[in-house]
Amino acid sequence: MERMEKRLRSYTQKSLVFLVLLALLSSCIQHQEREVKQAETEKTIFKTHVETHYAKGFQLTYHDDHVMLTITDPRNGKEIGQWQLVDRNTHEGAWEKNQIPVPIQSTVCLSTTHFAYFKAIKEQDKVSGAVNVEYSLDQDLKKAVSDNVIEDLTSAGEMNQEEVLEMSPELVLVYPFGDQSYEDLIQAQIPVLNITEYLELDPLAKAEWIKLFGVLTGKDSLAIEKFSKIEKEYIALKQKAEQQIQHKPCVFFNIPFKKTWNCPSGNSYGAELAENAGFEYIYSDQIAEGNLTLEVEKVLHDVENCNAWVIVSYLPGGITKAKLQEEIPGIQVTKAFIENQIYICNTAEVDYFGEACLQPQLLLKDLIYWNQSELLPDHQPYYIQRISE
Amino acid sequence: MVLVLLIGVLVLFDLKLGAVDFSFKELFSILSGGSGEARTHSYIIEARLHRVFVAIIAGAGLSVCGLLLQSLFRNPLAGPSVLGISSGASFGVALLIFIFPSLLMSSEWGAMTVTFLFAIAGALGVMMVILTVGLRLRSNTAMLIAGLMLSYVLGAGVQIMLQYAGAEDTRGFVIWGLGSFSNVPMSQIIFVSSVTFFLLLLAFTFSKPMNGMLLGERYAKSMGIKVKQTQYLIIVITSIITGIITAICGPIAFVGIAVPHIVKMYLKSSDHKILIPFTVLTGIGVCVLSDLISSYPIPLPVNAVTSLLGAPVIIWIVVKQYKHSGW
Repeated sequence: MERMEKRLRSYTQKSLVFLVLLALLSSCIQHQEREVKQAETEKTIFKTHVETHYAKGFQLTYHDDHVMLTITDPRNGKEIGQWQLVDRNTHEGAWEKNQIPVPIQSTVCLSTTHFAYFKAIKEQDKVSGAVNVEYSLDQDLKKAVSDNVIEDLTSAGEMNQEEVLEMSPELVLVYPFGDQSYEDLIQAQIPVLNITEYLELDPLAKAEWIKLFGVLTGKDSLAIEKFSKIEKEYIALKQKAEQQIQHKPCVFFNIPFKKTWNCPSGNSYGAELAENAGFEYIYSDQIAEGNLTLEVEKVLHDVENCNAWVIVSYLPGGITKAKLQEEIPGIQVTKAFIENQIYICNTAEVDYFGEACLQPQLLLKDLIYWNQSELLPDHQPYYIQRISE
Repeated sequence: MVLVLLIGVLVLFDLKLGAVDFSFKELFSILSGGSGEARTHSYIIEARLHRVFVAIIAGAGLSVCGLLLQSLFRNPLAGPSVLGISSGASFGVALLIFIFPSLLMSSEWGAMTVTFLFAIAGALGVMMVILTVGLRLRSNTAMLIAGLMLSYVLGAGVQIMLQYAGAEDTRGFVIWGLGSFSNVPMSQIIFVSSVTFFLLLLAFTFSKPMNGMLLGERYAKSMGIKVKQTQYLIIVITSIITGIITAICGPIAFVGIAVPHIVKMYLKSSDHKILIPFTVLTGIGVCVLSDLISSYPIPLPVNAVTSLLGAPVIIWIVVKQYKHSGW
C-alpha cells in the first residue's frame, strides 16, 4: 500500500514537472511565434497607418499583407478603382494586374503636377517619364528632361504608350477623365493608377495627396510630417483672417473667353480659398461639380458692385487694365476695376498647377494679404499679384 | 418694306433678350443715350449692338456671295460653305494660328490684316481649284464633288494641325469654328463692313453681265459681256467677302446657299438688280434671327443654328430638282 502511494506520488510529481515543462515549452513557442510575427511586421514598409482628413479622392485600408487603395471622384464619391499596394520585399509569386509594388522604383506621370508631389518628398528620382513637360514651369523637371534623366513621353499632346511599354515602368499615374485608353499598358501588367487630386474641392485636400505619394514611395512618415506643417500653417492663417474680418468684401473670378465666362462653382477649390481669406465669393451659393459656364453679360451684370477680382489664367506676357477694358467692354464700370482691386495668378508665370498644389497656405497668404494687408504686413505675394495700370 | 420692318423687330428683340433681360423702356432709354438701371447695362447693350451689326454684315455678305456663286456656276447648290470656300478660309486662319503664330504678335492692326490675308488666300485658293475643275470638265456635279473633296482635304489639314497644337490654341480654334457674331472689336467691324459694302455695291453694278451669264457663256459673249472679266470679278468678290467674314465670325454654314433660294422662291425672278438687294435684306434677317436664337433662351453656336435653319432649304431644293428632272 505504501509502495503504491509512493509510486502514485512519484507519478504525480513527474506529471507536474512534465506539465510545467510543457507549459514552459508552449509559452516559449508562442513567444517565438510572436517574435517572428513582429519581425515580419517590422520587415514590411507599412509601419505607419496613413489616414486622410481632407482628401476625398483616396482611401487606404490596411490589411496583413497589403494596403488597399481606393480612388474615388472627390466631388461625388463615385469609385474609380481599387489597387493593392504590396510590399515588394515580402511579396512572393507573380504580380497581379491591380497590384502595385511599393516602394515603387520607376513611374511615368501623365500630369506634371504629379512630379511636384514626388519632389516634395524628395523622391523625384522615381519619375522616369513625364508627359506634356513643355507646359510645366518646374525647372527641375525641365532640367531632368534635358539631361535625359526623365524622358518626355509626349506624342501629339498625349502619352506615347508604345514608349511607355518599352520603358516598362512599375507604375503609370494618369488622370481618369481623358479620352485616352490605357488598356495596352494594363494588359502588359503595368499598373495604371488614377490620380484625382485635381478634382479635390478643398485646398488642404489637394495637398493631402502628398500622403499617397509618401505611401507609394515608402516615405509615408515624411509625407505626414510635410502635410502637418502645411495644415498647421493654413489653419492658423484661416483663423487669423476669420478673427480680424469686419466686413467680407465680394470677389469674383477669371476672365471670359468669347461668349462664356467660366467661374468656379460655390463649392470649388478657388471659392474655398477666397472664403478662407475672408472674401465672399459672388457665386458661393451655386453648387456644381465643375465650373459654372456663364454668359459674359450675366457676369458683368452680377459683379458690378464686387470689390475684388481674381484672375487665374494662362496669360503669357501678362495683362494690363487697359487690355482688360478693351477685351471686356463694360468691365471699367465695375467697382473692382475702378478701385484697382484686380489680382492675377498668371499660370504662365507661376507654377499654379504644380508646386502651388502643395502650398495652399501660400495661396491663402497672398489672398489674405490682398484682402487685409495689415494682417500680414511683411508678406511678399508670390502666386497672386495686383495688376498694374 | 415688310422685310425692313421685320428686320427692325428682330433687331429689337435681339437687343432685348439674352442672359440679362431688359425692358423695352430701359432698352430705348439706353439706345437714346440715357442710362440703364445699372452702369454695366449700357455696355451690355453696346456689346449686343456690335453683335447685331456683325450679324448684319455676315448676313448681307455671305448671302450675296452665294447668289453670285450660283449665277457663276449656274448651279443651285453652289455656296461658300458647300463649295468649300469657307473651309479654305478656315484653313488659312488655322495655318496662321498654328504654323505662323509669330505673325499675330504684331500690332492689333497688323494681326487683323494678316488674319484677313490668310483667310482670303485660303478662300481664293479653293475658288481657283473649283473654277479650274468646273471649266475643264464643264460639269456641275464634278465641281460640287471637287468642292466637297477639297473641304475634306482642308479639314484633314486642320485636324493634323490641331493634333500638334497647344491646348489654348486648340480651344480657341474649336470655339472659333462654332461660329459667333460676338466679341468682334469695333475696328474690325468698321473695316469688314466698309470692304463688304464696297464689294456688294460693285457686285450690284455687275448685275447686267451676271444676268447675261445665266443664259450661257456663248449667249453672254454675243451680248458683248466680258465673260472672263465678270468671272474673275465674282471670284475676287466672293473670296474676299467670305474670307474676311469667316475670319471674324468663324464658318457660318448654309446662309450663302439657302438665302438666295428663299429670295428666288418668293420673287420668282432671276434679275440680279432685284435679287441682290432682296438677298441682302433676307440674309440680314436670317443672320439676325440666327443670332437671336443662338443667344436666347440658352446660348447656342451660331453655326449650328444657321445649319438647322438652312439645311431644310437645301433638302427642299434637292426634292424640287428631283421632281422637275425626274432623277
